[in-house]
Amino acid sequence: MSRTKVLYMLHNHPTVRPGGGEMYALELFEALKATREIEPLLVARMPPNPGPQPSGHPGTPFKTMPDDPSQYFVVTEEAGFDYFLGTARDKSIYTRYFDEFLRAHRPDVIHFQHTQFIGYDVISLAARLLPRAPLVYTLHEYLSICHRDGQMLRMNGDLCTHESPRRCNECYPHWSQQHFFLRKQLIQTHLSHIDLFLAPSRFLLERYADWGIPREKLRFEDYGRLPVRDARGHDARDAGARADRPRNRLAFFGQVNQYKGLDVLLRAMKIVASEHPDVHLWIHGANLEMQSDALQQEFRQAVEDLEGHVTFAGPYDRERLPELMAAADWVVVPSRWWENSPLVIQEAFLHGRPVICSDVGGMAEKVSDGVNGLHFRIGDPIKLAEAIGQAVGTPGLWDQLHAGVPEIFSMDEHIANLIRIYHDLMESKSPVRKLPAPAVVEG
Amino acid sequence: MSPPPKKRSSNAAGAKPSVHCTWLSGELLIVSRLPAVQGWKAFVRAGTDEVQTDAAGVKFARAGEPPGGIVLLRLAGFSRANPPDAIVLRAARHTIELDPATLAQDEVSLGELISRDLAGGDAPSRAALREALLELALPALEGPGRMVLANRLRDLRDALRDRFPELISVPNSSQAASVDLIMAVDERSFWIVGWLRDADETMAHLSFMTPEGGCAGLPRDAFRFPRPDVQEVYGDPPEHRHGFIAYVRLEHTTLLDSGWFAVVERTDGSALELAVPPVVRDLHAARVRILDEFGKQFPDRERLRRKHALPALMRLQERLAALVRVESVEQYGVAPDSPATSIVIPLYGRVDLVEHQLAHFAQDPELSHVDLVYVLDSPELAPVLDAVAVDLQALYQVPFRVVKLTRNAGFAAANNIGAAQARGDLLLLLNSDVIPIDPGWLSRMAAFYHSTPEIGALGPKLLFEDLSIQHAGMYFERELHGSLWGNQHYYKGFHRDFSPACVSRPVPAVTGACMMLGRGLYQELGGLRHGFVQGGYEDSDLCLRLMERGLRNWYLSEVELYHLEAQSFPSPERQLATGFNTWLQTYLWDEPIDRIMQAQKSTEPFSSGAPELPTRLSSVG
Repeated sequence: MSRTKVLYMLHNHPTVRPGGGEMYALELFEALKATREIEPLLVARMPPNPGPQPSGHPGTPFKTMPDDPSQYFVVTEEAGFDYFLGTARDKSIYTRYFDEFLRAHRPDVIHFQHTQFIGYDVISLAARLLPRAPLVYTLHEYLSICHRDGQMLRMNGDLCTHESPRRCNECYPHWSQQHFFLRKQLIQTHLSHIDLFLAPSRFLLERYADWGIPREKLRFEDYGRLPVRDARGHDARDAGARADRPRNRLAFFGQVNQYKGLDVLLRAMKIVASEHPDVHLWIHGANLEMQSDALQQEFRQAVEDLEGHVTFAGPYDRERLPELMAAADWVVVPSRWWENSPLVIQEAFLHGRPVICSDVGGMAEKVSDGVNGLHFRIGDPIKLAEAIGQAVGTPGLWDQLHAGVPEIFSMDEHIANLIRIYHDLMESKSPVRKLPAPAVVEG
Repeated sequence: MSPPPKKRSSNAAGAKPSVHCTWLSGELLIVSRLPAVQGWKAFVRAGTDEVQTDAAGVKFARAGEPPGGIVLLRLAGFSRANPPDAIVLRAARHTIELDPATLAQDEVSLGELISRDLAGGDAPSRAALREALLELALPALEGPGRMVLANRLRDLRDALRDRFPELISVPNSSQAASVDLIMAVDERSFWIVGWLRDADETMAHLSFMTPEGGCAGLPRDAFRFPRPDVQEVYGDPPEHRHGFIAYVRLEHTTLLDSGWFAVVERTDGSALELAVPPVVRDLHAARVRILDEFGKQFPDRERLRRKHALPALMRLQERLAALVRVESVEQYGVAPDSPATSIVIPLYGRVDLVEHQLAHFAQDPELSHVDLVYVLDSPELAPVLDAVAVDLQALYQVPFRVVKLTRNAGFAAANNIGAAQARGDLLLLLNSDVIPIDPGWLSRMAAFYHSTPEIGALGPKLLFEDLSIQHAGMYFERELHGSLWGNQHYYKGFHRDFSPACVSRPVPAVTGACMMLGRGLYQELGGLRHGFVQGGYEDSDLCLRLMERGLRNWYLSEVELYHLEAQSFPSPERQLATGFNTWLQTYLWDEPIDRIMQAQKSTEPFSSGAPELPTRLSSVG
């Protein structure tokens, strides 16, 4: 039986720049390679080189990985992408290059992990060129709904519950209501060709249903994760579970940006430091250098002020994650936005760590307050300080919450679901006409 | 300064007033103050022989002066520096003999001749003398002393020409004109741009007068186009085509930049004249200007391109090519005796890759018996190459030749010159940025070539530095913005092992970056075509000529080399050149390419689907 050829499209390759969604997509891709049923092909967008030397090859935006014929980069310029509409200005990337690529490779299924930097247009192109191929789209955040980096966060920091031309114009006064109307129409036109959207959280699924994606096209499917073993090959869940010391070690894993709530956490730590001076927070944060100067400055200052209580450890290697997780007791996810299905929560649970997180959206969905973690009111440093205080100061609480950590959705089950999804969709789109069922003869 | 004329007799018939003579060039003599009769003939006497020589005589009538005879004659076999024993002029009853001494004594400057003998000439006389000059003197502009002659002819023209009222173009004049630009393509043809307004339709001709007295009319098929600026000033309807562009070819040479003027002749016989700006004599500027016409996306310019721009450009290309010479050929190391294959490698813009190629060639025993010919097409890099060539040969022991050119010749000429130097039966054109991957590639290509019947050109798989495909055969596709045929590469950017790219097969064309064909075949076809500008498309053109012969071009997937094709930032010049090259390719090969691509598509594993082109609803010009 020949393998089903599935093309995955990403907006970034994690080896180029770290990112959670991309990391999951690459893990999925590698895991699928090992299956009998699926032959995956990956196309990841790559930014141009900094510096004066040209990045791409002349006459093609594609670059290959020498050792892996199933992975491609596609080099596109930043300036050539219209972030508002989510499309490339120079359409030849679709009409000339992706056209040729899709015709040549003829995938049976296309699974979009992301279209940022490439453009939604590639969906419509694929639908036209490969009318029998199911088109699947995994939703990682709210980018199609919200122009503010897909965060659904208003300019004053409030959470946004629904989009409308008027509300969006309030956030972005120089884009008119008409602009936002056109944006939504255009994006939804492209997305109308998608056969199935996968939503890693029920919260996100509802947001997209509200936005206008037909419910029958939306399906809840969390990120599948690979099992983690510690250095001795045991399930990492129980690493450090029998330590006989106070549970006062906090860890943050993720990008250092304005949405992840590190400012809330650092302010909370100021409060915590006075009452519980031996609580320590490790920040394993990536992409600090990509933030605004103001944010970088503010962050560094806050960390410096908390010397002795906070360590900024910079970005981390994936291989070291078990060790870093084992060294921590609590993982803090203080995001200021809804989140979707934060991979860091899954990772914390894979390592048996209870999670302290904001009480909204995807976070509140994945972490149950008092069962496997603690909630705090989003954006409130005092409430976060209270939660931390409760966490470190309540004897036996850690063990109780640790015991309540759920099984994480496995990659194997995820792949099994995906294979079934792909085959069901292929069948429903196939040209083979099923014979009508024989008429029931009343006798 | 010649001595004042003396009244002296030089004629056996008795003392007569002397003549005036002026040398226009070493061979052209004008003699005035002759008897006012018609039918002058000129002879040169050497010893006892008298031979007739070309001459034209004019009875020159002047206001307030008695008429005189003027003869213009052209010496053949003799000159001012090498005079005959005598120049003899005969007409009716008259015989005038001019020996060298007399010629010297009677010589006057041209200025004097003009003021004393030509001033005040009546219209028919002046016309007759102009005619004589046109016939006898202008052809001499090809020969020695031409610049001096040109200047003298200009002075004569100014003295002899009709002067017309100036055409003044003001907003309410019914007739207006301007010559905006005149660029020399060569000494007999010019690219002329301007505009005309003829509201009452009384303009019969527009002619251009060269400084030396030549003349050419604006051709009937001059390209006319709208000039919104002119239309606005005169309030004419927008469909008026005031502008004109023409490639004007003259019968006579003209060398001077200033002194042109234009004449508007009207239907009532009157005429007006207007100034013409000085000629621009810059081959490269002319080329850029004319190439620009191929970049413009107006289909109605097709007539301009075919009738004017193409011949002008071809002539420019010819002139530029003619300037190139082989400056030297140096052999490094001992050339192989009877090489089976010659590899020709043009070097342009950089020579650092020679070291890399030689280092890799040295790894391959086959390449010690190859006739390797580098052609240096960037003469300014000669010192750089000289500094390393000896050592590179000594280090790697791969013999090679370096052919140096006097100036940059372009891809076609560089390869053709290299091929002319080649001695092997098989010829491989190779770019300097092609590096072998494994040894044995050349013999495998040669073996395939020899064992494949009816083969034209052969090209292997070429890879970028990241091992993605740079070349796996070429095909033709109509450009998005028009109907021109551009060149495309199969599977460019895809993985080395992409299965359709791993099939050896006939293809419409292969790249000149690594192209093998029989040397005899190459020479028979005349090598690469010179017409393209700045490289690109010579390879596809050669492949089309091979297919025209009934041969097939092959892609050989089993042989792989690196081709480090570098992204070059497109300069405006490059874009102009590509615009022309695709136009020329289409002009030469439109139908054959169409047939080839129809046939090819039926064998293709995937057919590329360029979007539908907009249908032209009307055909203009």
